[in-house]
Amino acid sequence: MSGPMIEWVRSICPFCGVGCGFLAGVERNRLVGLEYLTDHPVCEGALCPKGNAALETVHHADRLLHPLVRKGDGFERISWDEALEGIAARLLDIQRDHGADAVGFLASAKCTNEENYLLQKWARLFGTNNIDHCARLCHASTVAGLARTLGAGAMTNPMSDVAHSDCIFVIGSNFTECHPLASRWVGDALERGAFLVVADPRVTPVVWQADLHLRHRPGSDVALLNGMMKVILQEGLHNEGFIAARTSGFDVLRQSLAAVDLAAVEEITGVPVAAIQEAARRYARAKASVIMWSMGITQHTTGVDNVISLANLALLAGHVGRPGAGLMPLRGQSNVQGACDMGALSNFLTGYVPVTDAERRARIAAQWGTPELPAAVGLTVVEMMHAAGTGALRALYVMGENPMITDPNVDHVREGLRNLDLLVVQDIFLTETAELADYVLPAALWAEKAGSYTNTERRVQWQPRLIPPPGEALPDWQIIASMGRLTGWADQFDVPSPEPVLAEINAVSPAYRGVTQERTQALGGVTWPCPEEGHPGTPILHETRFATADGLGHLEPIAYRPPAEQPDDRYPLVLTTGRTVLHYNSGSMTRRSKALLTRERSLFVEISPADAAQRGLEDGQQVRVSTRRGDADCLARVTSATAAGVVFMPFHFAGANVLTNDALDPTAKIPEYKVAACQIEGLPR
Amino acid sequence: MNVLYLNLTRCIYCRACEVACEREHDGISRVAVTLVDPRQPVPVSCRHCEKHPCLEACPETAIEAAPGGAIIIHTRKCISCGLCVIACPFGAIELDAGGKIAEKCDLCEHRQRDGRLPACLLTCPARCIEYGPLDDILAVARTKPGATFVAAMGETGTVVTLPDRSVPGV
Repeated sequence: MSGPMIEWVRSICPFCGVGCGFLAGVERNRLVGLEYLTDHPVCEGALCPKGNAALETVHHADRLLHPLVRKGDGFERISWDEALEGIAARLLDIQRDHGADAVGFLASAKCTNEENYLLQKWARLFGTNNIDHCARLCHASTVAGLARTLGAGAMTNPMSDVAHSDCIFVIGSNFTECHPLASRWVGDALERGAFLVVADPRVTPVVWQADLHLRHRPGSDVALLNGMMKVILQEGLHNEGFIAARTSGFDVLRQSLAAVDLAAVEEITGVPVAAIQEAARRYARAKASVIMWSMGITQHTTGVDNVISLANLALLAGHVGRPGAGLMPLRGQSNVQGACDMGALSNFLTGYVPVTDAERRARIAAQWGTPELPAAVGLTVVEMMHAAGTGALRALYVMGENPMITDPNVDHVREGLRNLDLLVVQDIFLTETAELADYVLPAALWAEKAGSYTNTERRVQWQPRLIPPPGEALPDWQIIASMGRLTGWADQFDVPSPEPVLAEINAVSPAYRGVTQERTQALGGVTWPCPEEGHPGTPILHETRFATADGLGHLEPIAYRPPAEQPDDRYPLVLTTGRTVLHYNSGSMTRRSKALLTRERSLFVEISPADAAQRGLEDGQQVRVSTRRGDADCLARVTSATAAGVVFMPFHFAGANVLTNDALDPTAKIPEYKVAACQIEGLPR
Repeated sequence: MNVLYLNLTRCIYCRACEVACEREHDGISRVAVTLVDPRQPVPVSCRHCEKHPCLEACPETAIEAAPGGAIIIHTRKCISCGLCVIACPFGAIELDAGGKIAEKCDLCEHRQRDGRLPACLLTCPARCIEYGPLDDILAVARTKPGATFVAAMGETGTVVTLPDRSVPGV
């Protein structure tokens, strides 16, 4: 910490949704050090390996420094004025010739609330609800499923509250790798004697600490959860008082569960009935139980069904609205909660106002100085890629997303993006997506701009600007504001800094009304709903009533449906995908970190010893993984961490998402990253 | 005297300690987390043993048992003989990339000098690592589930708790 010139400034980690804090050391406009912030309420100073490597990307030689325009196969440097005016002119042409719905916008869960607010406002004033972002690919099912059952699509309790749980039920979450800080509070609960049930097809490090592992088949979650609820009802373990006072729909749910046959559940899930019974008893009987989940639940064509089933389970047992009892969807990106809150979704305006709600839409239109906003639900992320392929979408404006790595069925995404008349990408590096762009705009990263971020707990924290951006790079809010002014909304995008944008968010979104800049700057920020200035914030949701219109939790019967794709003779294995602890999403940041890349260098596939032996594969061998959509070469890791019949690949490296299925959940429109039928063959050495 | 406490029932193999150590020590980590069975990671690094064979093996006076409990290599006095590397019962000392200087965990001596705790301890997301007086550490360790080892080959330099499942015969 030496060096008298170094100023240490409180900052928010730019990676996952946990929202850890640290001190960034600033000296002569450079970040020169990182120090642990032990009084930060989210992390107590701790940081995972990615957090420790957060500074490595900041001054990286690959940073984009100037606006670029496509010239043949390459790019040519142009001025900001040329870039912005050129993009605006082409967007207005496309709007005139094909209508505003021929244009799509991708917001970013890596950008601030203010930036996401501005981008979705611009898209809507431009005339379309084709505005979406990667929440569609991670927790769209949670937002839809919890909104329907509890009235609010967000985590109900703070992360540290897990320490007060007596039973922790983890399903489809490898938080030890994806949200490592959760391990801190789970560890505390286990030392207090809490019981840990983990449902996961893989033996992740979460399973190492589990008291009970339910190794269910990918995509069999609804069957498993219905089985648990069946046991709870059969054995009278449901919370009658809670059900009577705080829920609706119990009779219908009970009738539907009566038809569930536990032997059939064992058949579908592969989990013995006795284990399902034990899990159900432990969850229902504990004083305070919590459910933690992530993409293992959401990234299915039954994603919304899975989430509703979890809500059903919690409501049946009365495990919501108390310390240690709740529903904890762990959000994946530093501001994915905030980007959703801001309305960077094709079906919601700011504050989860449905675009189809004429009255509330009109209220927001008035605040934005326009007589009317578009009323039709827009295209979601994957639908935009499909529409680009058919020509229905002519232009795509991308702020900080990298669909060429992160979207399912990447070969199809490439075709779609190439088919566009105009692709604009603003990012910090020349990503795989930016390589296909007509215009590339250099953006500032977290340390180079001010703004607020909302973590998975709904906690809103301010990140101050620490250093200037490199070269001619600009903050995203500034670029979007320029685009808004140049496309006809000069009065709405007269934005001198992020602060007045947050003030506008306070006015538009009731849950953010008291989330002022001052509050977000305090250590640990403030947790929404914060309905007025001076309100303490709301760490625990649903304590006395649910956020639904009638205040009740809505039980809803769900029938099991199999995944969209089943293994067959040609593709006999099930491929499931996810994160590793050492990399982050599309890898555009972490693959540029020496510390992280040297520890995890390239794409791999985990395969069980039995499946490997059957194919004559050895650990460390080069293999080809193929699905109906394409193939990818990588290294085989032979491990008992994966069950026979199931293989796993991380999606941080090019290749994995060439394989994944772009079939969608009918409601949430989330693709089924977690189940694809595949085959694996060894490659010659 | 201060000792390290590693509560390995909580370790999630995230390797944050390695990356933090590397950041604090000019790009070279002095801890390597290794899976000793498919479900049990163990950080390999200096245990700051109470009996310190490395110090006894050193033909110079390059290794010091500091008053606080840390075993410190004074790299300027190191003659690259490698005897400490051989003597260490934990394999926690290595010669640097050029084969010149013996290197190992120094408990972030540079941080402790200005009152900051070792980086691995602070960064550990799962809160596996503590550092303090032996009596305090033992009082904490006694409350933890698992099997606690107060003395191993190096006696009490580091107190370790392992899950019962990983301990043969327990």
